[in-house]
Amino acid sequence: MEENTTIAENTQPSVTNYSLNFHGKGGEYFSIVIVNWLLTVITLGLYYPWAKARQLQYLYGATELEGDRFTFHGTGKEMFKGFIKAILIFAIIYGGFFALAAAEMPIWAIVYLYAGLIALIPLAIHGSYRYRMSRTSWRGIRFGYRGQKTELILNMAKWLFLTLITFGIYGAWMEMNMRKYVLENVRMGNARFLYKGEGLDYLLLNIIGYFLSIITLGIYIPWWLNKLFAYYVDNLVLYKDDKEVRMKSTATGGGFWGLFIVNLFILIFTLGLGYAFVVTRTMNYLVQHIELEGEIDLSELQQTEDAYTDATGEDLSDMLDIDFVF
Amino acid sequence: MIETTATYFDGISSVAHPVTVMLNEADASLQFTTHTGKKEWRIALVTYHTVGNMTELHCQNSIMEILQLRDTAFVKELKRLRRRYGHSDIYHRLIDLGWKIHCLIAVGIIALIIVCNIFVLPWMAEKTVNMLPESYDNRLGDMYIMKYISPEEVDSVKTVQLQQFAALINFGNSRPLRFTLVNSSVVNAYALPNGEIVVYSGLLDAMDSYEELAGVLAHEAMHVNHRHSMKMLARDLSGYLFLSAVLSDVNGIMGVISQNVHTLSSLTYSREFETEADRGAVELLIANHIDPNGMTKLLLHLQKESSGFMPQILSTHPLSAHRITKVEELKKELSYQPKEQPWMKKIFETLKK
Repeated sequence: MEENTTIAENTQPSVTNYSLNFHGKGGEYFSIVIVNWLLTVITLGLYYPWAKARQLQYLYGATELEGDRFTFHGTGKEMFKGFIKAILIFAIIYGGFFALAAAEMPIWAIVYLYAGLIALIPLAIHGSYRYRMSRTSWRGIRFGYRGQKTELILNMAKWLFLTLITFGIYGAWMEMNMRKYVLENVRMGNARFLYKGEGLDYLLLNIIGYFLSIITLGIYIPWWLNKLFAYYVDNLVLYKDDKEVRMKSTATGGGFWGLFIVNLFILIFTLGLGYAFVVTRTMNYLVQHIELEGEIDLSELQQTEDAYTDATGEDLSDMLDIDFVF
Repeated sequence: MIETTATYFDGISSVAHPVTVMLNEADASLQFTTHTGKKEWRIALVTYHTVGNMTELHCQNSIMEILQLRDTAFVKELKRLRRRYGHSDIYHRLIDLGWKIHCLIAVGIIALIIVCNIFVLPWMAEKTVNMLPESYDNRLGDMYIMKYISPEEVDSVKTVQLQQFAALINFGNSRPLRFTLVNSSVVNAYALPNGEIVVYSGLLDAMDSYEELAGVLAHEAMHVNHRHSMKMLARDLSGYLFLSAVLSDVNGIMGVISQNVHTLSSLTYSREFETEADRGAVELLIANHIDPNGMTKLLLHLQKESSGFMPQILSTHPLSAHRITKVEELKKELSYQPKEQPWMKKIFETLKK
């Protein structure tokens, strides 16, 4: 009898509910935003990378998994180098555009500009994931991104081509393929992520969301966003040695609706100064509505990722307006 | 020497190690013993971030190692030591000022944005334009003509007549002016920086006297003489650079607010140009012995044409009623003796046919 229980315990490890919390306070973040803002204005914008590092450090440091905080190790100095490189890349693209325009080749100028900007997207995604992940840690265990630059560029060229010839329908698959590629290359020490989202589901979700939003004159939008958020979170799994941590969104459309309305009022009545409160409220809502459950013992993660310092992608993605959930 | 308990992560595994950390004031270092041995972090190399009551310490020469502690008195002492050894940077000093000062800073920066948009940017734009060579205005105007005016819209016969009409007026211009009549029902005329003045046939149809046409041409010539469009462009560009460099990337919301302030003040700015051009036009008519009543009549016609009501603050041109009052005031200030201009009258009549 006793032997059987032992075997049962070994083959069916107990399921843990992991705690995930956000401790950021709008007031604290407000101080950081304002001080950064002041320094950025005084330095005519040059302080921007440092400001960004401070803000990320705060938001990561306020997010807590199983009682321990995440850490963002990136520094303003690293990001400043990336910032300068990003500016140079943009200068080359726009410089070429104006040179061609001045040489009276407007069509080539536009083709060159768009080709350049589109080619930048995979570079920006690659670079910023690589940098951002390498600078993120939890309990001293570094995250990492192992995607290959050329592979991503080739994939993206293929997906873009398919999207073009299907008049945009393949766009849903492109987005899911991209998310899958990027997330599945993210490491958390010796644990890795899997993403199970599919293009077809995502397309239907968006078509239904789009039409319901039009019919309801936009009232449905928070519910649509809620579905998209759930589709992101619920399909994400952390995986290590045949064990998993599954994620589940408990957010609701009504919850998102309330969040947006209050955020809007905060912004309007504080003339935008309440921005910091909007950020912490939103982070709080999202983090509190992710449930984690699984079998991995998170105190057994091992360091596997090397240090990495090029921050160019981080700033490219800023200038191209690419947002991160991670 | 003070000490506290902390949690240490070694950057190799995610196992938490409880440690006792000592702050050694004499050496300016943090000392603690881990499972691998004794550690010493120099305070100069220690960075920290605080969220709520939790502070995380890192050492710059091995950034994956972490010390987490919740002892605010200990952290305060650490900050004091860092300041004493000159390791505290401006950022932390500003953060430690407290939220009241931060609110004041925020209000101060908003005020700065408004002041910059209303006073500093227009002034800078003006200076920039004065430094730019006039050939620049020509190139810009030529580009616009190539792009927006197709040759078939130009009424070449009436354009010649319009030029003959304009040749009878002394515009006091420093650059050559060219006049073009374009077939269009739009009741409008505009000036390009290269001296090209375009009058739409719709505007011509709305007039009934040559003094009005002289008024329009004088008004547009004033825009060219004062290089208004270049000033506008320089101002918009500098405003844009100011916004994107200094604000919009850091805080998108602030960028939006500032942009609105910018748009409103740039509309005011363009109304200033219109008033300046009206004033110049009246003076020019008087100098040419043309009846400045043409200006008033013209504005009355424009007033009739502009349907709908728009608050003055949202409009690029001052309201016609307002412009009429200004012109009337000016006419009272100046003494004038208009003469009948038979040649102008004759050409105007041909143009109207």
